[in-house]
Amino acid sequence: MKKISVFGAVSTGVGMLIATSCFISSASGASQVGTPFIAAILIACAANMMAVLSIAELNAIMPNLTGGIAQYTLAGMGPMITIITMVGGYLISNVFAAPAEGAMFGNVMVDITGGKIPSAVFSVGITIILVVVNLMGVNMSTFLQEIVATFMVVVLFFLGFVGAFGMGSGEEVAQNAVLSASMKDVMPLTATAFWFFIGAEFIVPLGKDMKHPKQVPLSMFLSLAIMCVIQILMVLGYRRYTPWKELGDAVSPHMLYAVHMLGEPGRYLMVFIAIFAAVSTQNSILGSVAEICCGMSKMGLLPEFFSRKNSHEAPWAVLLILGFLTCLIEASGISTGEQVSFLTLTCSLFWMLSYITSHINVILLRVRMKKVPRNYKTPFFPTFQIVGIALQMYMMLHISTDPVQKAGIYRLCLILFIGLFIYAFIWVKRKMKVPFFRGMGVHRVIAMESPEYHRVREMLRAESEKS
Amino acid sequence: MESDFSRIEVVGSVSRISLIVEQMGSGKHLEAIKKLGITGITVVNAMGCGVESGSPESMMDMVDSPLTLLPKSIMVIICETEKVDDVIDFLMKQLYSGHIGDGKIFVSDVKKIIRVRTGEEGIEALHESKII
Repeated sequence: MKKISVFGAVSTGVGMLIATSCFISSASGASQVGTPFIAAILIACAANMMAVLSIAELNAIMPNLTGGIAQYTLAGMGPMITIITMVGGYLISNVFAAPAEGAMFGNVMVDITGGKIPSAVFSVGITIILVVVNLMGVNMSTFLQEIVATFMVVVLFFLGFVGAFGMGSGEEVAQNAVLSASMKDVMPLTATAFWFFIGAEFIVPLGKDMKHPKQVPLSMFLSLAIMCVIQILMVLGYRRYTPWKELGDAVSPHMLYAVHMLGEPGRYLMVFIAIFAAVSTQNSILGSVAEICCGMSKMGLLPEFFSRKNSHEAPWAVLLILGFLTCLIEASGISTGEQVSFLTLTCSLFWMLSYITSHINVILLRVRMKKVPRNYKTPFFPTFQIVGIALQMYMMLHISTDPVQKAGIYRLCLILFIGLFIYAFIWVKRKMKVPFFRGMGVHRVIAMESPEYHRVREMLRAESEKS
Repeated sequence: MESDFSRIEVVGSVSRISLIVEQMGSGKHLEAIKKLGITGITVVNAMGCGVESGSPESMMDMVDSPLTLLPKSIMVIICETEKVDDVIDFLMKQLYSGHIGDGKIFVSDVKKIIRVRTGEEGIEALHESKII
């Protein structure tokens, strides 16, 4: 079998990171403080680099698992925390991430069609198409992913570079580069910038097909670094071509930037990007979340029907649930920057929690399984874990600079967490019948990956009930 | 007194040992093996079981499973004692999958090494012969 190169893995990583909803975050951040937003981008990037280091170490200790962070957490912290943070961290946050991307796509299409057709028609339409394609078992190959990601990186880098160095055909705007350089204003924007850098950990499942396991953290690092450079260039470009106020209020800030900088050709270029990004991101979300839910179902963390597959080997139940929820949010008519930002920040909060969990898992497993050989170990343990937890917690506490939006995000998260807690409590007590907070151990979780493990237990349970 | 040479025996499932031998023979590990001073490997096929009494991983924690002997391989490596820790570290990283059956490593002293063809002893017997 052909091994995946670092380039292939980075393409997957960048493909996961690049989303047009990122433009809402960058426009929101940059319009508040100007170019000092770059400091927030760098800090958020560093925080996520620390998170992927921890995830790479967990992957080294538990290689080739399908459930990803959920299985690491199950081994280290037990089923209760796993269900609350991971079902929340991945399933729910992706339910918010997918419609955010759909809404951005809808906005661009409305811009092109002149507003005759509502945005929701486009966003729901593309989601339905992708769900059907996934149900038919058609997966984007790594090769296609590489082409899409390379195209996106090149075009976005081009847009950022041209803007940053004032090489566009549009007229430059005379405005202050710095609106506020106070750390009090800049630091809370790290939570906004966090959205640029989530998803690099989806490279981990490729590890088993890569030439060397050490290429996994390298690929994740490179993906984050590429995204960081693109976003910095974008902020510098905004400074030259888009008035800060107009940028902050825009429904499609990327379209605004491209048109101001390159005129009409910029608009058409952005349409291409929006289509590619929406297809690539929503498709990746559907594919990867379905895979992770299958893994969690195999572990007994989710009901068994989550792992049922149709004749095309596609996990139909997860795809339909995810597709239905995505369409439902899209059909509610989200389109403004504020609404998209609400979705992305809520999603970010859950994701931050899952990164904190990963850091704690590394610390726990270093203590409990000190001597287990690891092909990759985080350097300077536990510095990156402690700093990483502190940064993620800071971002969670400053999830939005708007107090009303912040209260709304916390309220929604609280409701979801209460729901998850009730589900987790009942599920663990009645179905799993294991201690709530005791880690299940690395070797047991690895063994649980095999369907044979569950078949044997099911058979014995049926036998004992009969007798 | 510690001996100058040690015998490292790895007992594990046939598939794991075969895989590691295959990997050690491939280009990417040859350099590492040379550095570790490994000049030869012997693999013996055997039957046996470990603490799980030969039951499969899916049956873990099940009591009263009958003792079953499974096909195993024993990989034997003789090396200088001062390099034993590095060799073990290398082997553990290669063998580790987290699954039951990754194997066990035993280390014991080797009192003497003699190459029969030339009569060379000790380190000379381990490396390429200097006698033409």
